[in-house]
Amino acid sequence: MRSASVTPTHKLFVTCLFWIAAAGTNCIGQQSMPDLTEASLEQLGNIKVYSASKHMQTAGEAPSSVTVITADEIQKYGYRTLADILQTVRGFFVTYDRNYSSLGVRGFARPGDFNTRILLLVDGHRLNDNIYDEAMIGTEFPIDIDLIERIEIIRGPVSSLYGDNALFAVINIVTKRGRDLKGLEVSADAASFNTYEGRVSYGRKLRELDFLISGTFYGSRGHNQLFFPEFNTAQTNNGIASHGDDDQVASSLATVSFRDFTLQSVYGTREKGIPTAPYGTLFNQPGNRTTDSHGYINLRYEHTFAGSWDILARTFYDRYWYQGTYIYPSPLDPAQISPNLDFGDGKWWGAELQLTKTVLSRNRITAGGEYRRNIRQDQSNFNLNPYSLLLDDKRTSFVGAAYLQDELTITKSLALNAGFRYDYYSAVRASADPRVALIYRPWSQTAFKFIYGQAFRAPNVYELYYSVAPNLPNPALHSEKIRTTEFVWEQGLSRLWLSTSAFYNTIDDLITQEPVGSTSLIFRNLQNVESTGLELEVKGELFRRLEGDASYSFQETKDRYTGQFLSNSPRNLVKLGLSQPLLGKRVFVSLDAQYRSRIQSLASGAVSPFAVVNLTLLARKISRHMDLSASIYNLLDKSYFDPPSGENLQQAIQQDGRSFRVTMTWHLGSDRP
Amino acid sequence: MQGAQRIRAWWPAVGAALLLLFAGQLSSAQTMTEYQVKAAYLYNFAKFVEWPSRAFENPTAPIRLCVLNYQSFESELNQMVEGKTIAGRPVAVVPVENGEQSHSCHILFVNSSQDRQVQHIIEVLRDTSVLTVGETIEFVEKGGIISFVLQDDRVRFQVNYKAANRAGLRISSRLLSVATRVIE
Repeated sequence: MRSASVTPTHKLFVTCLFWIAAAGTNCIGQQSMPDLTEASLEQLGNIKVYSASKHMQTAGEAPSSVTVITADEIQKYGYRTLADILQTVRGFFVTYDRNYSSLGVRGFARPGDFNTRILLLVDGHRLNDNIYDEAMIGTEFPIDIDLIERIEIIRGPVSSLYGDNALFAVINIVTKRGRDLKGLEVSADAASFNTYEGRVSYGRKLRELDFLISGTFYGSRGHNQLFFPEFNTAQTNNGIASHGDDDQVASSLATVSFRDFTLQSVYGTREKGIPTAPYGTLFNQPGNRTTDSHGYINLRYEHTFAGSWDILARTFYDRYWYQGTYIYPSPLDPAQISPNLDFGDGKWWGAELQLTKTVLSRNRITAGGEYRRNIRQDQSNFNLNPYSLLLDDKRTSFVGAAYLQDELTITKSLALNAGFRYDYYSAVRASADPRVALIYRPWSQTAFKFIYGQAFRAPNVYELYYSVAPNLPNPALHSEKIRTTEFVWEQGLSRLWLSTSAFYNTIDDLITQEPVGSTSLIFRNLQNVESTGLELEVKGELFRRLEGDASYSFQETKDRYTGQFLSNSPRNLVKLGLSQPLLGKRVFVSLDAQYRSRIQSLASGAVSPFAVVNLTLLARKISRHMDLSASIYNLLDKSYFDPPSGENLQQAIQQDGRSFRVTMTWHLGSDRP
Repeated sequence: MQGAQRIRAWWPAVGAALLLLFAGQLSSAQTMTEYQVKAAYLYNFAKFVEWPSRAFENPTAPIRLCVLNYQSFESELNQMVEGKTIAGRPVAVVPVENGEQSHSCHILFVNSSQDRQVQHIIEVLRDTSVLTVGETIEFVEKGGIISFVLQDDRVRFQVNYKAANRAGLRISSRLLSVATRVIE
């Protein structure tokens, strides 16, 4: 199943463990537990359901360790960006270099990595671009997060279904539909650092036609002054970067569904000032900036034919464009500046066909094929003063893939999920990736999963061909490969849900940037890395409608040859989220906190451990049509740092102190409850 | 020994507490999959509908819940009703492929992907006592008996009372009172 749909994790059932604890009885004998068939008609009518997919799986049935975040949680916790959301997910950590946000998963994040080992999907459409493979998760993510209905995070390698980039996780964003809006919705917010955002959305469902259209503007002046001690000299303004942290975003989303067809168009563009003076550019120069734009059109057809054939077909066209402007002193006259312009220009289209059929009543077979044609993968770079062309690299390529998956029900409590995918690349070596998951559910609230999987990432054209000093190209790069063995235990427990996961990863031929001599850098298939870890999570209703989620993850990531721990890899992560409804579920107080242990950063330095606490107060229907929310981020004003990227001179990048946001949302739909 | 007896004495209290806990939970906004809830409704409909006696071969003949071309839902439903009885009758989940195969069903669930078959199925089953359950408003308007509708992410249903009468089905007033719309 491609869009691995899952339900949230808190389950209705009273569990076996509870029975053991409370009554000392044998669990196996307790099959006749209270269940949905004992609910009254009125109770059934009050259960909230998800209606997006026809083949829903519960989290317990999914052949992976899965996390789901809903629109409800996004609003309650006052999350601002996808990065904010992912920061709270078990085993994930996000770092920010004041330009891009980088996501680490299960102890793994390479410095300066553009999230290439995470596959980001929007309604099943691949968002990683075709030049840098980047999964954009900060303000550069092209969809307003208010338009997210839910986020499904599937951990572990899933290349057997999704192909390239699905090494550590697949993050699928499911967007809202017209039926979720039922009319006009307007949202406005104001936040610290002169940050303002406005959104207008309209959506409706008219019989078989469902449509949603939305547009967002976001602007932030950012910090007026940022201090970087590494630049604390008289020539560089005593380390103070003034007005270099601005951020502007425009994004739009339109989705139209008619019967089995869904047409979606997405466009987002962001321009960000870079205050950190990366790549040896001039410090305190507001001209250092990047612009990333991504737009696409995706047409999807889904239908169930007689004889339980399911068909999913999609075709898409994507456009991605990047411009970096980096200010250097002119070689002719150091008093003048010479902007260096760096471009990435990508264009691609593709199509996919997937068929699912149940055969011999026990096998649910999914077979599919995908084709992606990169009609433009261009990179260029030039200096302006004086003009000199440093790079003009034009590429095209294609990828063809075929996959097969079988969900085999062996007995009522035992299921096997096996898949295989073959990806053929015109430019680099092909990859074949199997995956097997055995799911044992001895009781309705208990699931044991044993998973083995492989995944790969092909080198992207940036790693292969980018050759502006100090970078050297390396056309001989080949794919890196991850192999994962994971054991998962999920347990419903009264109103709680527990999940435990132990994993062992090995990555071969990791594509890593390393120095050549003292002046150059090159990407090589260099390291073989292994990581071992353990994750624990408990989620559910803790006490008197107090909903919560707490997780702890431990991991150790080592270079297999040198035995050294990898940089950029925290060993311990703790996440906590608590949300208390008040006044009959109209007001919510929500608090989330994240702890990250010490990180060894690139240049032998270290980034100290820290914990950050955020607090949000949400009032729904404060007037007939309005929701009001107020948040304090970094409530305790903790001074904390993230590790830098390789292009930064800084040892660590300071993050925001205490800041505020107020959001007002008007729902002007006709039939809002 | 004494300890064991004490545990036994606590049993009913623990059971009652758990039931309360459970009931409290159902009333709060819980999230289930849409089709888990629909499966539970189908089982509930069987409790609140009376079929003419000719619809059963004997007093212990099973109530046949038929599912039209929807394998994954069929297994969901099977899990839910397995081992359950209604008024002394066991409940059987039966997969069917078309209207002609559905004559011996008591309840027939027609998933929205079967839209093209709907008109035909309603025609074929017009003079039988099959309780047809669909997923679109058109379904009840065209002569189907019950349709699920999604309202605010909750599953509700509408009833075509006229069609139920024609089929000789007696629908309890309790079921009708919960329906969001009754076509008379």
